[in-house]
Order: sequence, then structure tokens, then C-alpha cells
Amino acid sequence: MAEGPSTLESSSQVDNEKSYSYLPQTYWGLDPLHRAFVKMFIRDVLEMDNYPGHPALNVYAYKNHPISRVDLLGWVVRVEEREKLFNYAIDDGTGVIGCTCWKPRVQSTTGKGLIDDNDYSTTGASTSANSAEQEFVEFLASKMQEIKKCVRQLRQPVKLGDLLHVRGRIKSYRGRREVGAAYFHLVVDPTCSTEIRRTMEQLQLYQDFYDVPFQLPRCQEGGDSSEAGVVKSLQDAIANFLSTNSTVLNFEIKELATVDSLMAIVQKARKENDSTINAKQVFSLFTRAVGGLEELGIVYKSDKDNLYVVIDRDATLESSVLDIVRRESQKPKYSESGCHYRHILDCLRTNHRFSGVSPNVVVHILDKLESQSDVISTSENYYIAF
Amino acid sequence: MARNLPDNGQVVRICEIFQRGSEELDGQAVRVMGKLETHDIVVCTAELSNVERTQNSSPHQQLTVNTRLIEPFQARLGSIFQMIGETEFTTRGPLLHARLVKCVDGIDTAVYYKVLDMQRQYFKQRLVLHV
Repeated sequence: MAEGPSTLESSSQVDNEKSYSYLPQTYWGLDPLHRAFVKMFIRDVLEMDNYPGHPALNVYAYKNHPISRVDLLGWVVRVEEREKLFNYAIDDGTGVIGCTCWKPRVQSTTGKGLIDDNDYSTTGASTSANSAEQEFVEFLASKMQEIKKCVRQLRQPVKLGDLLHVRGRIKSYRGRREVGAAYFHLVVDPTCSTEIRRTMEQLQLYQDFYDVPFQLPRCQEGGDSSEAGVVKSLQDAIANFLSTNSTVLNFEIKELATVDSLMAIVQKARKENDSTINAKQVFSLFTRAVGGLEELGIVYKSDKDNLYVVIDRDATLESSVLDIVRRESQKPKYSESGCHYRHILDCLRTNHRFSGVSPNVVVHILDKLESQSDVISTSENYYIAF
Repeated sequence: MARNLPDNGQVVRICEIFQRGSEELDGQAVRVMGKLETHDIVVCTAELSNVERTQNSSPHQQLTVNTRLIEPFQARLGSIFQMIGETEFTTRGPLLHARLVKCVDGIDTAVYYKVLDMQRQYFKQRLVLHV
């Protein structure tokens, strides 16, 4: 099975038949899961191995996704309080993991903590500046109270059996895997609806995103030696050749094979693939490339065998399309809104010469005529001429 | 010092505890959900009855729970509770040594068990793909 081009380190796991193409570190940023707090089952967090090739970093591999941060929701089954942190063990039904939740480092002030606003000496008549100051001072005081309340809450340990939502990095502490929480919050969930919803969400996420191995987007330049890449690059080269050589009006596939530059591409692909390509395969490659061009609308197949006509240089095609549009626009049915391009295509195809024309060709011609102001586009895909 | 973590409490139905028996679940930590039928605070026992509606479970199946570690808890007879603890298969049947309890009145049990089944199926599927 052809994998992406950057299969630098692919290790096959013991219990897997399929080996994933693990990415080099420079490409990790392209994976959306890399720095996201990935919602996973705790069982997976514990079972994940280090990303192959980087044993020292705290980056783990889930089916070739590099994961360093997780988002967990579970029951607190053990609470340990230290001076600066809490260590909770979280159980979500699939596994138990310890989470290190740091206490806020705000120093607790002595006393009630209200800002003493008697310091501000108020002169007899309170000017507007002073009252604004007063308001600001009161506002600050209320904000301070709120912050103190939050800090006090965070200082209190979560009780056993509470639901805790934790987001943090996966760490290894004394040989054991832990989560160093950057965010933790007690969730009030009396009817378990949050837990249930979360499990459903996780199942969806797993099936849609995590289980799909990350694939690098294909690079455009001809680094791809798979067949599809060769055909694509051949197609581009032929298009290039046709546009630069204005003398070419029509061609057969066999004539294309005589062109040096095009054959060079095939040769290069053959060398990369390290296989012998015979004439028949070359012919099939060219046919596919020209087929692609046909679909794009650059060439079309005429009724004479194997002859492909370049539409940009075919004056008769252009003039016949224009005639058709003019003729059809006279009819009362089309005189108001114009003809749909497919209708024009049908009329064109009645002509024996143009029976192999694809819709894209017609679109191409109509665009050209429109830019020459010979036809007018009344609405999308509808054209009219006078 | 960091002690060993408590065992993971896998979610099971009460009828499954009876079905699977001691070979699979003895000593294992589980999470069960049931309606509190009896509660004796002196002897520290309680009984949870089945709230699932599958074919082979009946409301008469009751799981005995040793509540020594969680007393006193807000025990209302007839409320639905979720408990995590270790199972022990005694001569008188399965016994759950509960270490955590939570009242989940108002839970949608049908959805809860349906999601549990979906999760189990997903894990089973994953195992099949790996092997």
C-alpha cells in the first residue's frame, strides 16, 4: 500500500498488522491533535506509548497522532493534599490516573482584606472626579472579594466522589504516568447527564478523528512517485506544452510520446519506481493524462479516431457555440432568461463533429465568449446573445 | 508518598455481577447503579436493587453492599445511588465493599446503559481491529 512520501520512521507495533507512518517532529504541528487538550478515555492515556523516535519528550502516540495534552472528566477516588498541590486520582470507568493540581500562589492577606477607603480625603464638596474615584475604589474592593472567594475555593480540596474536569499535560512522575493539570474544576452533576453526554461525545470524537491516522497533505511538486502523481504531473506538463506551442491544433496520443519533455517525466517516474515501463504502460499513462485534460476542458475528442483537438485553437467550435446561443436566444422560450449551458451542450452534440465534447469545454468556450462580449451571462450558468 | 492508585472501577450492571460470577469479578473494582432498598446504619449494610430493564434482569435481584467506608451518607430509601467498590463473592452471594457513593436521582437510566453498551461495543471493535 503506498504511504505518504515522508515515511521516515515507521515502526510496526507488536499487536498490529498495519504500521502507521509516524511523522518526524517538524510535521507534528500540522496535526490538529498535537497541542489540543484531547478528550480521551483514561485507559488510552495510560496505554499510549511514547512517540517512536522521541523517548525523552512527553509526547505519546495514539495511532500516529502526537498527543501531549489531555482533557479528562471523572470521579475523584483518592485525594492527597500537599503544601502546594493536590493530587487527585480520577476514575472515568475505563481507568484511573493521578492528577497534580497546583494550588494558587496568591498570598493570603491577613485581616478582612477590604481596601481602606478612609485614606482618600474627601473635601467638602465631592467633585465628579472624586466620586468616580470612589466608585472605582468600591469596584476594586468587590472584585478583590470575588477573587478571594475563588482562591479560597481552589484551596479547598475536592471531596471523594465528586466529578472533576481536568485539562493538562501528560507527565511521567517517578515512573508513573500523571496529568499535570493546567485547569481543574469541580463539576456539579446530580443526574450524571454531563458524564453521559461526555461519553457519547468521546465515542464520536474517537470514531471521527482520533482513529483516523493523520496523513500529510500531498506535496504538489513531483516528489510523488505513485501512479496518480505521475499522471498528474504528466497532465500538467501536457497542458503546459499545449499552451506554449501555439502551432499545435490537434494531436494524437502517439504524437505526444514523441515529445522529449513529456517523455522525460515518464522516465523520471520510472527511475524512482525502479520498475520497467513498457510502451503499453506509457500509452495508458498518457491516455489517463489526456483524459484528465478532457475533463478540465482543455481538449476534446473529435469523431476521428484518437484525435484530440485543443479547444483554444479551434475556431469552428467557438463560432458554432456562438451561433447556437444566438439561434436559441431568438426562441421565445429563452429570450428572457437565456440558455443553460447544458442546453447549449446538447445542441452542440447534435453536430457530428462535436459529439465528444464535455461540459467543461462548453463552459470554457462560453467564458471566453463572455470576455469578448459576444454573449452575456444573465444569471449563473445561463447565457444569451443577440 | 504516592501510594498505588486504586483500581479502576469498570461500570457493570447488577445483573451482570450475578451472571458473570466470581471467576471474572471477584476482587475487582466495579461501579454499579441501583435503587436503595434497605439500609442498616448499625451493621453498615445496604441493598441495591436493579434498575435496568433488560430481558434477563428482574427488579428482584438485589446486591448487598457493605457501607462501612461510606457511612454516614444521605441514604434515602428508594433513591438511586451509584457506588464504586470492590466485589467479594461470599457464600451468601456477591457483596460490594463500597468506597464511594453518589446519589443520582433523576438520571435517565435507559440512556446511561445505552451509552455504556455503545462504549463497550466500541472497545470490542477496537480490539478486533488490532488483533
